Amino acid sequence: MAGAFPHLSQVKDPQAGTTLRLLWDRIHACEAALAQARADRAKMEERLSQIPGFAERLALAASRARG
Amino acid sequence: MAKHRPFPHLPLVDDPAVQASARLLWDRAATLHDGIGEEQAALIAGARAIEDIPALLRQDPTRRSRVDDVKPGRCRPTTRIHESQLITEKFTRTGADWAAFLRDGQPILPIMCHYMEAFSRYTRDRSQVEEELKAIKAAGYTGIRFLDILNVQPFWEGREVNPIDVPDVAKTERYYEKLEDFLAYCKEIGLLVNWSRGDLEAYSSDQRTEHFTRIGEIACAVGVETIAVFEVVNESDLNGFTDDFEGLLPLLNTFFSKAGTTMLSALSSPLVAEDEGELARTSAGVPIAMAHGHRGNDLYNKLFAIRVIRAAGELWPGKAVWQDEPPGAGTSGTDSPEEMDEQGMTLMALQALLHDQAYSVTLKNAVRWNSTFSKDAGFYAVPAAVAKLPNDLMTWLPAIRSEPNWPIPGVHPKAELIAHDLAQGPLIEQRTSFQQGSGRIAAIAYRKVGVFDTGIRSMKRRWKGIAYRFTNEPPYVVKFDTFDLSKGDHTSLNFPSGTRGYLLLGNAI
Repeated sequence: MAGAFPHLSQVKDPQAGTTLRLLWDRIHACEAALAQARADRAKMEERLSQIPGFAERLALAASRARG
Repeated sequence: MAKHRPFPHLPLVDDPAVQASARLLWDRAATLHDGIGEEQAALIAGARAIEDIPALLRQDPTRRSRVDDVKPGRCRPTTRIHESQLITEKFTRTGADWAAFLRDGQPILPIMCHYMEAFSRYTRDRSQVEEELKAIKAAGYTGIRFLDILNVQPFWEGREVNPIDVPDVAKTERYYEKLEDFLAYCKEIGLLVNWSRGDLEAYSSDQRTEHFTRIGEIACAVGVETIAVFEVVNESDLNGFTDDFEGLLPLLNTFFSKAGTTMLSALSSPLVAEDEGELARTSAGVPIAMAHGHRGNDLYNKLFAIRVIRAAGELWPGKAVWQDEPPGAGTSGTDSPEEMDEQGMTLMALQALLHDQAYSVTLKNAVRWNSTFSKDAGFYAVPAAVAKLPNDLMTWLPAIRSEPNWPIPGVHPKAELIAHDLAQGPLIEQRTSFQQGSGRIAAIAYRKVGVFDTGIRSMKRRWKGIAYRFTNEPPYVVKFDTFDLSKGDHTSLNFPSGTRGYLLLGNAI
């Protein structure tokens, strides 16, 4: 769905259409940023997991972070 | 989660297209909100874990104070096999079951340095043991065998290690913390452990259960991938249990309840591994059968005892076998100690791996450690010789001996290489592979009596290869001759006097 603007072409009010388009743009940008952050974190964790014992430390910290 | 969120003002919007688009926007915004929350939690956890990195890298002395972490619920046993864990894969070929060892998806020939006192000494002189472990790793061993409990007097006087007080022996302070550190260090440098214990006579049933609970938690915390094989107890009948192994499986299950079941495991070794049905009986319910090889007579008999476990169907348990305390320069009751040199140690290790058995070599300092392993005969030669073997050896055709019933004359019908003079030449334990159109052979040659004829003969095809002998000087495995034998041809190998056996590696042309 990234890059799509659902129902926008059917909006009759041009001002509503403009603000909706800006909102969709912001959503798409945020989604892309989140996806990049996830990928970066996965890469970082993969590299850190090469340190003996780190994976277990991370799992323990994650369980604590979840409460 | 987004389904339950409100959609502010949307019911008041007249345009259905605006309503539909805005509703989807709210959903997407809610999903983003959730995703960002997850990332924030992960960042917090990552930041906390990163704080531990200096300690994990052993740059921080506070790493010594983690005993509070060793408590129930610290980590969960996993059912997922770690990618670097040692596992076995069973094959059925030529009517018999056997198992090859795999690690990281690749075949491996486990060769361990038996270092019974490793943990005991670690509690007394950590840096010294770390130096030994590093040397063991550098020499090429897969790992070590060690026992986490020792106390019988006077044999272990001054070398005891125990989590509780037992008669005449005070407990080791901060035992479990030190054990975790020890295992973490082995993991850090990439050494696997063949992990067992002895001297449980003084431990009550509850104390035994408590110990297996605690070490299960430690194994889970450190990472079970550092365990090559976990054995409940060394030589059951001599260490507080009986020869019928009663009570061993419940203790293993206690360990499993904390550490998971994915690591290779064993119960104990039988009194005589070379008796019919013993290995099958004593390995019921576990993937590994432990064997403590025959210590009597000469090297020929010791090699025969390893071979016969695989060669005689009634002795083979149908699963992987591990020679985890074979005869050697450091084992009590071993006859012909003069043969337990670099040649004897290497030939026994190669014999075990040729015959589908992992091997924990017992050097001079293997049981009671008194000086560095690097001075022990065979310390370098054994792993160097094993490194010459093809890693997928255990998937090859089963090993055979050139003369199955020596000294009764007769050549094995499937033998590729035999002695040129059956009366005077070597016995040749050989294993072949003809997968994917290429023929390979790996063999050891030896003879019962010291001096033997140098001639070998090819029986079925042309083989070209190299002969190696074993020394205590670099390069430890020395190429001393080559051979290129067409069917029916024979040649004399030019080895120095005093050579009692050698390794042959070749390819079919």
